[in-house]
Amino acid sequence: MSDGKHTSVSTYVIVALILGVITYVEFALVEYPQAWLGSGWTIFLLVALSIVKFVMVVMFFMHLKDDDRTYSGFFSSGMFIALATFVGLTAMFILPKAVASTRPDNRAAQEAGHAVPHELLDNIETRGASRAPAEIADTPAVADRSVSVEAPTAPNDASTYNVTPPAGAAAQGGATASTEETEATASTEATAEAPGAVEAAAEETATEETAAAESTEAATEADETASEEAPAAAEEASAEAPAAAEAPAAAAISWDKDHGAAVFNANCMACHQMTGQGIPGAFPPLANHAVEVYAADGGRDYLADAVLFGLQGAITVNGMTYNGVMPAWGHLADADLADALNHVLTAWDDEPAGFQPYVAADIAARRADGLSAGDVHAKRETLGLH
Amino acid sequence: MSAEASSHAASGAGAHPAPYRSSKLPDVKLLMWVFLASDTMFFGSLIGTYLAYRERSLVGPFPRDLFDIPLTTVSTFVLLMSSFLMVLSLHALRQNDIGKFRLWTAGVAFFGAIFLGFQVFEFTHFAHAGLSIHQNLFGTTFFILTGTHGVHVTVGVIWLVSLLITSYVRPMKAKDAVYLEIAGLYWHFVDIVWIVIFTVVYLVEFV
Amino acid sequence: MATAQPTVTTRGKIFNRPTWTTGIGSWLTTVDHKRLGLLYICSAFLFMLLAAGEAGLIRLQLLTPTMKIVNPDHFNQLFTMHGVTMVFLAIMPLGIGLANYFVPLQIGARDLAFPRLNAFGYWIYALGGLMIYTSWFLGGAPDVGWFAYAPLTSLSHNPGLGVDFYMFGLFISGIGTTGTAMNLIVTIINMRAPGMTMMRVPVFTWMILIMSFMVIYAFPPLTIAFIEVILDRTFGTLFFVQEAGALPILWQHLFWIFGHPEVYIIILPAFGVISEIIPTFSRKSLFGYPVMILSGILIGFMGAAVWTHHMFTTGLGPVVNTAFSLTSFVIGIPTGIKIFNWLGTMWGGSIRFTTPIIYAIAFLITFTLGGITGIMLAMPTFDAQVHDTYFVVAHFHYVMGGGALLSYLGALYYWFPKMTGRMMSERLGKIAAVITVIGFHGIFFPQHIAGLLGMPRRIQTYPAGIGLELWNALSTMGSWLMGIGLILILINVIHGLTRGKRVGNDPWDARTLEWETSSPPPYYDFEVQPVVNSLDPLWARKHPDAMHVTPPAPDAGAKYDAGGVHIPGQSWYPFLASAAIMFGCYALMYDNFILAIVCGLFFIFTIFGWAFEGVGGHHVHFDGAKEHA
Repeated sequence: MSDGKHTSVSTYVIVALILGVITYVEFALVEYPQAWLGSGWTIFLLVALSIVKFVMVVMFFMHLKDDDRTYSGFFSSGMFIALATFVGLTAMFILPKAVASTRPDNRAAQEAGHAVPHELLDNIETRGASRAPAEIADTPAVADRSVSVEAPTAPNDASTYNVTPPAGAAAQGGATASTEETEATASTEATAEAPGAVEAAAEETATEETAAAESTEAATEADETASEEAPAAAEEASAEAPAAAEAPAAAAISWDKDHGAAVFNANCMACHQMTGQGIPGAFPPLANHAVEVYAADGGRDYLADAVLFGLQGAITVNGMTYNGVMPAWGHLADADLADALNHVLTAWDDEPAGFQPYVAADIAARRADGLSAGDVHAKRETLGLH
Repeated sequence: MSAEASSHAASGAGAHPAPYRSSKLPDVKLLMWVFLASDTMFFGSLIGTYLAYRERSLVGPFPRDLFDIPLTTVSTFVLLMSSFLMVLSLHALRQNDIGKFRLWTAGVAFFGAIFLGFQVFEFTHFAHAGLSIHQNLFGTTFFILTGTHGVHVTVGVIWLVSLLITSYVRPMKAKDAVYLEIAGLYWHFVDIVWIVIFTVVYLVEFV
Repeated sequence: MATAQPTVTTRGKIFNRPTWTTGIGSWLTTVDHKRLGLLYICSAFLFMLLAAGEAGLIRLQLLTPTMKIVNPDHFNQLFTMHGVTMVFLAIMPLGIGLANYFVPLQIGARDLAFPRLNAFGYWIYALGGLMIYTSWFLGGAPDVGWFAYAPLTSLSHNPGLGVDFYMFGLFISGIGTTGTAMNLIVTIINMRAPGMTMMRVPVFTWMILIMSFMVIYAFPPLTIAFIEVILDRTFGTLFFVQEAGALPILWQHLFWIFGHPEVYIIILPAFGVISEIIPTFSRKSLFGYPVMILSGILIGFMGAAVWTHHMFTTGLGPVVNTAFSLTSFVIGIPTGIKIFNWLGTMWGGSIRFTTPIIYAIAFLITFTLGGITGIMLAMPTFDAQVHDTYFVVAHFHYVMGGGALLSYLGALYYWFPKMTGRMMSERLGKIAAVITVIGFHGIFFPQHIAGLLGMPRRIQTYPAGIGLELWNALSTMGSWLMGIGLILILINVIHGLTRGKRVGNDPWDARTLEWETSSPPPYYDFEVQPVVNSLDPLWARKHPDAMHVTPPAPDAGAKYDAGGVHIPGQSWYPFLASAAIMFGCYALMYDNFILAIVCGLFFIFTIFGWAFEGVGGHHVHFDGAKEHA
């Protein structure tokens, strides 16, 4: 504007008036909604009006209309990159959610309240490869964390980098977990992306699911498919076999043991460990404990709530206080959660008396409650556990 | 080539012609536009974060429970009008009309302060209704987004007041207009950011 | 050449304008782009040696299966600090330091447009880097990987101070980088010599211009991401708290919206360096100059549109993966064009095999290999197989190390005579170059294979008998070789500084303006404002027939200096402002809010002092006949 070509004051006044009127129109559109417009058009109008305001301020008040083109070039290239980037980014977050919320099974959950955590993470791709676990899983979180945080606190620090053969290594620290994975990834199937135990969750859940669906003798298959859980699942399966045979109640509803183990190993094992022992002081044990909870009055629902909505607050298990956070796993499918819970209740202990394996419908029913992690904690208090 | 070199203090600007420049654009103004281009990405990230987390809060209060559209419309209007005063102020300075320049600049700073007042009122009101940066994702993203914008407004107000005070200490003439102009550009930018926030954060919530 | 002591007016300031020309004070308060450039380059090299040491330890730990040299905890810290240092504190600042030194010289300017902002940029970078390194002594370095994925950085998962050091240190050094980038843009637009149109600007300067634009668009999202984590950790906000419904993947998006442009921010100055070295030593002008510039601009724009190819395995869905896979393929095109233009420049030239061009050729080969693996990784299906394996490690080291680092080593040999007035030993230089390059490939080529065999990155050790022994052993031995190469380079630098042959203005028979002034350049850069009427102005002066131009008379620019050359005054404020920010960050880290507020107030004071102090300085006159006020 140093060239002396100045906009006159009257132009400024007119621009200011228009800006004021547009602001009022925007206000009116929202305050007195017009039914004939519909929400789609209203949003379109609002966005269009704000763009008009934006452009007017930039053109007249910031003088880009008459000023050197270099400024316009710099600013509009910045605006262009910013708009493209963040419209793209926002779309990646909002669109999957919009698609998910139009699906019937989520409608009910949504109507139940604002606070349903899982609908947000629902997957477009369906078929078990759900979006959310991958998101969480792709962080190198677990492996690194267990090395960096746990290693110093672990009493036998040396063992964390004392490599043992993969088969028995599950309870070791992160370093060995990674090592184990080296084993897994080295072979053909090799999802290979993960230094962390949870990493491969999405893909592997999918793999496991199909594998399990195909045959129940995954135990033999597993060694070849080489996803790290496979040998574990096989072991687990064989270990349970006699127990399952003894228990008559289990026959009533059949559930997929291998799948339950796979879901557990992909999502829960990193903290609660493969043997369900947890890590004293950090992650509470499930073995010997989950069955007690199940047996308590209301315990069956509580367990489902805890996996669906998480748990936040201090709890005491076997005389030890845990004050960590259990994340919500509502983004997993109902059937996955049901099988994982069944696995937790049957893998290491005798089944609780009157055990009714969870089915997908049980989980779906609990889902509708839309609790917070704090609510679940409050609920635990009412169970009357020690 | 051999040459006698001597030097002396850069006393007044008048003693020396301005150094050669390969474009007609004043350095500071170019810097300000480059900064604003960069700032679009800054606010873009914040607004992107807000939108990504929209309707993902697990517990209340939710935007619809809190937003007061008439109030925000008024504060939006105040900020727009401050932008209007800003161009008047620049216009006055270019005409060497120092009196009007001071009047309008004081007006911009005052309107900016009113806007901040609205924001403080809004924040306290929300806080009483149970919204905090720890409460839910809405609280976190909303307070940080509008708070960052508020910080920008505050910096703008301080900048304008400094210019105003400077004009009493050192004479300000039409040729210094570029220093007011860059403050103005900054101020308008803060205004257009608010135009975006007003629409995508406030209005869209009620459609 | 006479140099007169400047006399400086003092007008009752809080700090008198410092006028030291030697000693520590002169370096702390300097605003001279050449001194700041040297500071940048030296600090970056120091950080690089530290990072190289960290890498050496990492390789040593992986030499054989189940080594116990470094425990897992320290291993995490080592690879994190190695990445952070190399990317943020060594290679990127090397590019910026070279830009600081040579952009004004190449465009015939006397300094950057905002000398004090430049000083601020350096100090905040240096102090930010120092701050990160103090973490080794204050409870452990960050151990979250250089991209520090949430929620690993949350307070509950990572209660130590390491993550705070990472966030605060990179946050403040990012501010400095952004400021310097803005400064460089204004300088290149506004301070080119008379007659130097944009299409006569040397390619190195052009690449710096594009890099600067990428910096100003890429750093704000990173800054926001840092602020969000800092707020989460210090004030208990919920940006990345999963229990509150937050999505940690947002961090990945914000990080890679920065992170991919960052790759080009690092590599573009390297492209510029290669584009200077190859024409000089081929004695032939750069082939396809306009295409070179255009492809640089294209890379700049495309670089902003490929970020999710770092996130193919996060389950963004087939649509997103396909889209970003396509843009990632497309960005290979302008890069390929550049490679062919460099080859075209060498083709038919009379090449002198000096040390710089050996590095340039090594760069071409290495970078092309890295580019090819890059195209492989742009396929989501392939990426799903090798994601987070050593294949990826090998890929980005070929690009960043082989691309950027090798060309910066070339730049060191190329510009050393200009910066010091002395030559480095060519014989030792060539030996070191060959050893370094062989060592480099020795380290990283086997890692491709280890990665394809499934070796995950960032593991602290691996068991025997799964086929990884050979590749890891080779890789570690390569690192020893490269270490020897780096030591030889260091010896050569010291030898050059102390005993190097003294040289004149233009030892390489080069083409651009920086070789027109003396070596090292005087504090006012040029005695006479250069005037330009073609590309490669110095070459045009030496060989007007070859360029088909009549160069302007040597004193054609004298009229632009009629008022004397303005030399900006030194200032304390940039350093003080940076120090205030650094101590403020320490205070926030240790939750000492009172000290933080004090630092904040002091920072505001320095900003006002800075603003009201004015640019200051003095004018230098060269023509004795001319009157000076």
